[in-house]
Amino acid sequence: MSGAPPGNTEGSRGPGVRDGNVLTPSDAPEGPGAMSVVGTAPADPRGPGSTARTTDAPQGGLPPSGAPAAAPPREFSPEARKRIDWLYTRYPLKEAALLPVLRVAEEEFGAIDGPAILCVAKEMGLSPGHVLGVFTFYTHYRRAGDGKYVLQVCSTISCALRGARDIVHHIEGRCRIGPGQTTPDGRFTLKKVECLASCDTAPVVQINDDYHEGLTTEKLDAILDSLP
Amino acid sequence: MPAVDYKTFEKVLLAHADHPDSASIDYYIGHGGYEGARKALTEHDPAGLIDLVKASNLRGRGGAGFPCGLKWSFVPKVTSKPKYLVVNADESEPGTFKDRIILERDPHQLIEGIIIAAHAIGSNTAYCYIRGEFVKGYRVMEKAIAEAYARGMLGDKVLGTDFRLDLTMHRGAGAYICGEETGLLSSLEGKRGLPKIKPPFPAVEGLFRCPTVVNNVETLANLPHILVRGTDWFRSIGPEKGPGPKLLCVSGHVEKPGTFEVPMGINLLDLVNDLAGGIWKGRKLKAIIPGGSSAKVLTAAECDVGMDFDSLAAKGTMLGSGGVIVMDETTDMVDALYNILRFYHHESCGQCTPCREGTGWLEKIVGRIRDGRGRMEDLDLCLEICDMMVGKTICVLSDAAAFPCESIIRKFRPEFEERIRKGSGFTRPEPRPGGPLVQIGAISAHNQEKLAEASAHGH
Repeated sequence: MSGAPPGNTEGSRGPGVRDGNVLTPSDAPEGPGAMSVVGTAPADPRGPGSTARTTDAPQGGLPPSGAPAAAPPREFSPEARKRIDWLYTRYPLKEAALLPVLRVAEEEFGAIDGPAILCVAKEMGLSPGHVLGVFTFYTHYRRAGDGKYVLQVCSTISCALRGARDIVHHIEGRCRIGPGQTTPDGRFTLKKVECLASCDTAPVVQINDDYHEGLTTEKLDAILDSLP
Repeated sequence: MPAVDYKTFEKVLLAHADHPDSASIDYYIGHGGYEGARKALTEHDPAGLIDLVKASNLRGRGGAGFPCGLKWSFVPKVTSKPKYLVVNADESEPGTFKDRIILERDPHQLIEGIIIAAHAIGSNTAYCYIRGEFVKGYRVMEKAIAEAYARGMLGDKVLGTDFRLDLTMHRGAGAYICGEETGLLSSLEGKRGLPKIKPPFPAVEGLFRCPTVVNNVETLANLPHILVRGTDWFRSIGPEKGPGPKLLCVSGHVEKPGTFEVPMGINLLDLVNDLAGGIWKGRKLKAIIPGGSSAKVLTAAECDVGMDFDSLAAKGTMLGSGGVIVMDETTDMVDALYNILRFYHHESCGQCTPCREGTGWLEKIVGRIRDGRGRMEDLDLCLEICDMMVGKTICVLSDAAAFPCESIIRKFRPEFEERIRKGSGFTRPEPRPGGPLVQIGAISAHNQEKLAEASAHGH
């Protein structure tokens, strides 16, 4: 993914939808850098002195490796280790279990951060650089700094034709965050993502593991209100 | 070609998908499930099975439409290496959502297909690579696999025979490129999902450098039915050279979007106007992308076409993954193209220069046309870039970006020219509800004072 950041679809480059179907560009400012921020990420990896720009943390894909002081090493629990040992039995090469082991780490630690990368590398006997390189290729793992609920709004063509832009717009207004940002209370992260393969029920938002389909802004409000 | 009778067609792949228990093994066996696998294991040797599937003319449902039996026949019969069967459940072509239904609602149909294919190529290990977003499908499949092991459909003695088969689910993590078969194999090996140069083809050197067959979910789901009902039945559905039931996904500006199981070769207009309820809001049709966003666009006048591999190829486009994206008369084609190009730029893996740079250039140029900053020569520039992207890269993502770009610009050129002539005539959307997050470019009161002060002093 050299051309684009491995995070989500970028703010202003997203599709826009007005009146349900006429596409127009987003009204977000050009590029992530232009957007200043409402509040900081709950755990800004660059420490308290850094300028608060939440966009970098989840989108740049890099776990907060620049903050060694505040990062205690991570260890897998015995249950997770059991699961990993089972995974090794399913592949002829241990290395092939990397993606599933990252999933175990994601579940175990809540998100993949620098110490989690080191933990996975140590566990699998791989270099941290290799693990980081693989991790950053993929967009779907939870990253350090992501909110409790990651709102992944599909913004590809079929959803765009049926009002995905209105959904993004609504979340922006309601949560006061732009794409790639997290609310100050750490509750919601907004991400614009590519096709979720649910085009018949567009527009669609995936909130953590679950698809919410055929959305209207009213339905979305009801869903967001009902989240614990 | 005579019109395909889709009205009396009885569903095959989705016959049970609407039943609440359709994912359970008891329901599946109770409705004749695993009979095809039993026949394959007890009545056919691998070579016979390959011949049978060749005779059925089953073509791959993932996008390329390659004959399934022929693909299997490329796997070496005698080899010291293990052979692998890999299921491509990384469904991510924009506009496509057919495999998801099978994974979530009829997982045993897929597992049965896997048993048949594994037996045909002599593989004892199968992986199902499912895209990371399909959490529900993953859970349903995990449960179904556990049931299948418990009931002796998988494991050391499949259906009581000496055939051994292990099946493992493998979750992807959000990368369109992993739907390309060699990219998928790289990802399955625990690496970045970078496609590999062919040859060697996966059938000779694939997963872990061993002979590998990669088949799409829908392709495999057809196999049990071919085994039970025979090749003549299968070939009687739709055109002789690419027959069978087909799942078509209709999305966009129609009244009733959804996945429809139809005989191959159904007329596109019947599909859209009848099954999908016609264009929404009583509007007129403008264009249809017939086979996922990688396919070339058809204008409204070109849509009287059969939905099968050869009829669409004759129209210069493709059946692809069967994702039919419908656009009504109000659609802004410039913005629609921009959306598609943004997708491909985002998903390019970056290995090959024509794709890495080309997708970015196209996105930028079409973006500036959309924003009213285009130049008339941009249109030919785009076509030239497209020309340099087709057939020049390791995988076909580059081609997949160039096809829609080239076809949309060619077929809707006046719309692009008008946008360019109008310049900045394009309307900015209304401000976000609740006011802007920040005032971009606004000068703070403090700075305004400073500026006023500075100009008063003649700076």
